[in-house]
Amino acid sequence: MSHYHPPSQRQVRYWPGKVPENYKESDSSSEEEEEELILKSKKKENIITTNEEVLKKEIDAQAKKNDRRLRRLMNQEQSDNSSSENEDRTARRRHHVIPGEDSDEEEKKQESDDEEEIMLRHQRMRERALARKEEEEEEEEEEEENEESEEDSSEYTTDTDSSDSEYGHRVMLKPVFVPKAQRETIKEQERLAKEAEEAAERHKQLLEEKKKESHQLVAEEVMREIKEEKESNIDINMVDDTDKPDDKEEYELWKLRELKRIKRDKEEREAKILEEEEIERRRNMTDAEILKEKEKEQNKKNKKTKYTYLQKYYHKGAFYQDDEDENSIINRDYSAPTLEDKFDKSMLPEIMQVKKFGRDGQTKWTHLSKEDTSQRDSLWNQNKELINKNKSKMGGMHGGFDKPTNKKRRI
Amino acid sequence: MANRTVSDARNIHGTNPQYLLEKIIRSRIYESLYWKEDCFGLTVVSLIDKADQLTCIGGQYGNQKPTEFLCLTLKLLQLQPEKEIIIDFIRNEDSKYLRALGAFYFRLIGDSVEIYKYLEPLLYDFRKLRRRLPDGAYDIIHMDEFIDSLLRDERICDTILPRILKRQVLEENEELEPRVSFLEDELEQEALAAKEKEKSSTRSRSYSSVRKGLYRIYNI
Repeated sequence: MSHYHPPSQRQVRYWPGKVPENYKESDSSSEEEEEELILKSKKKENIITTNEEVLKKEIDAQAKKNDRRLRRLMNQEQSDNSSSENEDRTARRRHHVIPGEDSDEEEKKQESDDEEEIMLRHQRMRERALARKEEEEEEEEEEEENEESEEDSSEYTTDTDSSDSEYGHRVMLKPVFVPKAQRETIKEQERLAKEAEEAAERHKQLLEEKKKESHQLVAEEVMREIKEEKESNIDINMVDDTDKPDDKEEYELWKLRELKRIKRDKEEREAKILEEEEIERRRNMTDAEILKEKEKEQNKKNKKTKYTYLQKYYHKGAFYQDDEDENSIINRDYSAPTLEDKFDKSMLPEIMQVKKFGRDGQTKWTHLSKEDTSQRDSLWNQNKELINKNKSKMGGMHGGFDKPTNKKRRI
Repeated sequence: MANRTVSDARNIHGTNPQYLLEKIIRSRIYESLYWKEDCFGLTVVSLIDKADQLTCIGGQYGNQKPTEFLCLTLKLLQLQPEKEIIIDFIRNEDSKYLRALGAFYFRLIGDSVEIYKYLEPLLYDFRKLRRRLPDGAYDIIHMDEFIDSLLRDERICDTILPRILKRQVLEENEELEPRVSFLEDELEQEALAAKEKEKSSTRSRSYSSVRKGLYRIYNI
């Protein structure tokens, strides 16, 4: 189609595969040429039929080798030989591939085309189409025959054969089709995958076994430890508490305890009786008698023991004094001399008669009563002058406090 | 809750039986492993097996842990079995720890007369009991000592025992007969025999009468 259309020209839509309306075959539009064309087409039909006859013979001869493509190749070669047909073909190709290769002159002629011409063209086209159809049918028949005869060989093999014959020099390995089920690579892959899976499973199993084993080991260890602990507990801490039947020693010990208990109960009973008697006695006494008895008891309690010279004093403590047991440690005599207090310190030289003699905390005082100045006959009270002098230095000792009213009275 | 007393339990000494153990001891028992592991879901019957497996009596030991003995006592307080069952515990002769447990429990819940009635016969039982001391060590105490302290002391196994009337009071009220140990009869007989012997021999008289009696018994 031309790129430029004059505005007067009628625009026609192009349908692929369909001959345009305003198409004209090449430059010649005369009847003679058309007749020639018809002749040519007839000729071509003849040629094709002859070719087919030859081919059929060949197919019969070499059924196995032959193929549709090879045949087509051969067909091409033969058709190439015939020049008339070649022209025809090129012309036809021109029709199909570039149907609108028309010049300006053609377009001008087209305007003058009449309907008859169109009719003729249509007829020719129909004839051609019919011829083509027949050809195709024949080819299909041939194909069916070929397929029956050659099942093993594939399209590819023939193709390579043909290429071999074309180039001759290059030798290519024949690719062989292997069905999917028989392919080695797939099998290998599957095998590898399976092996890997198996290995993983084995590894898993191994791990599990190991886990179980270690668990069992730990359990055993714990059980052993518990057992040991129990045993050691029994051995070390537990005292034997098994009783032998007819253990005479135990029986004797029990007897002793039982007798002690009996004694205790008896004493308790007696104490109770004594207490009741005492209560009865007191009830019969007069108040004066009771007072007298109380005084006696007080004196007994307040009895003081004499300390030795320079004896140390220990305080007995203030708490838990109500234990009435005589043997109790609280009821012991705490004023009794102990250790070095047991020696007579008055025999020592005077210089040693001090507290903590010879130690770091030694004092120059022997005891309080020796340093006591409040006594009238003490050394301090002998010297009156010294006392007065000392007194005059002390605050509040310079004459007495006088009431103001007293002063007034004096005046 | 698992630590609740059974719903149909009677009040004892005017309170929930579990309160007979002090609060702090109780909570320590509730937290102890033995209580959680072994005392859960115990019945009186299954408790007998546990008591049979006891290895010692005692209160708290070590880091103030309650003994299994105390745990089972609390379990009994919780379950409150009938008195007959406890008396059977006390009367059984096979398991001394079951007997000790029963006696301890009975001392907690019983009234004075019953306690004297059922526990005093145990003074003749001189089997050994292992006792856990507060520092975790063990020592041996005899059943009769244990029972005697139950009857007389105020605090046993880290538990304050409810007060009971003194035996003398009960005797005065004529609720109890005076206790006569079968050893006393024996002793009287021995004393009679001793008197006869004393006339002939010149033994020292420094022993107390009881000791003298004992001495004589084993010299014969």
